[in-house]
Amino acid sequence: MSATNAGHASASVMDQVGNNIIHHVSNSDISHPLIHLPTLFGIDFSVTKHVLMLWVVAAIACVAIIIPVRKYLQSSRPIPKGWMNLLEAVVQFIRDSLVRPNVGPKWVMTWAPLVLTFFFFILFANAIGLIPIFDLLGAVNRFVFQVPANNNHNFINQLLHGGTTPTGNFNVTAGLAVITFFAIMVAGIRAHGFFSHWKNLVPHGLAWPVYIILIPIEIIGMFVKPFALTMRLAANMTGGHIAILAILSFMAIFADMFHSTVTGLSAALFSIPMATAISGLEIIVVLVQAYVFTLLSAVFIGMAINVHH
Amino acid sequence: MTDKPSRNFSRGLAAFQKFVSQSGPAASASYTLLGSILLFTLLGYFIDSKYDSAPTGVLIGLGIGLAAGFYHLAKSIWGGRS
Repeated sequence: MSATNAGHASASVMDQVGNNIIHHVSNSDISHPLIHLPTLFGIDFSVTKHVLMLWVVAAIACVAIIIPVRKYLQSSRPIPKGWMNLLEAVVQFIRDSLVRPNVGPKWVMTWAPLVLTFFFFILFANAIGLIPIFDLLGAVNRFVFQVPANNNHNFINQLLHGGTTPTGNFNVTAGLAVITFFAIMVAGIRAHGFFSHWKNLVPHGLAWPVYIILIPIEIIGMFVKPFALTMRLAANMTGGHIAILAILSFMAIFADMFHSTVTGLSAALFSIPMATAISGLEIIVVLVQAYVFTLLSAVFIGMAINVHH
Repeated sequence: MTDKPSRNFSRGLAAFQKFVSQSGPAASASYTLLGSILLFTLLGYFIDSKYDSAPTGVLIGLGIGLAAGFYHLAKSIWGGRS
């Protein structure tokens, strides 16, 4: 009897752990949006947590990049200082190391703005998931303002549902990849003309039966590139968060498995340092993932411009 | 005295820039290979689950994904050399 009960209890904790992890990385429920907006053309424009986070990221990008750059351009100072100095170094690195070698000197100033926009937007969107701002607000809400946890009409309580990393959402990364998809086509068409761009997809001068195989494969390749961008970024951003949460969950799992708080606390001796170490690794991942998306976008755009067969 | 470390740092950065610019095609080839296999296998799985045709869809998807992926890998390797 006790063994059966223990089995049920263990299964329920395991279920709770799994659900909690999914809840922490997924978007909030569209049926309970943070801000209600009307449905237009069959699309519900209501704001979920990831949409809110995208707005926050856009605001941060505006404050951290657009406003300082505009201010610097309006001033007559030739040498940037402080934050602008760091921005200049990053912009120069991406332009000279990523964009120029891939698209070539002729098109570098055409495509550098798009690639830089990708880099900064993805960097801020990735990084915002590491800042536990809503958890802090939730604690203040609960213990300072004494708002009960089950008050679902409270805005802060609603904010506690769902993950904070918008780039962990496949829809967001698919949106970014679609921009790259069209940028590749526009780059090819601008560089070679409409018909030449499509003709350049396959090597010239081959026997016609080869084209029966090559044309579908090249068309497949057109869609595979944005798909790879979508999956890679979202999976990497979600994976790190899942790993941290799974390691932290060991405390609950061990405490439940051995029916002992001490065992749970002992698991904390392993879980907390491991989770801290992975959080440190996540800081590098945030930078690397923004960089890799930017690099691949520049490479794909460059492949459409500089055709090698 | 301070010139040497700063010169080493800038040389290190220049070497990093060089490796970064060279790594792009390799990264693109590997991700395209992985992406095409994943995309078409998942597409095959979706077709199988919809039309109850397992494992035909997955196998055909895997075949197309492998063919497309390796073609693009070969293109990245040999296309870049020419």
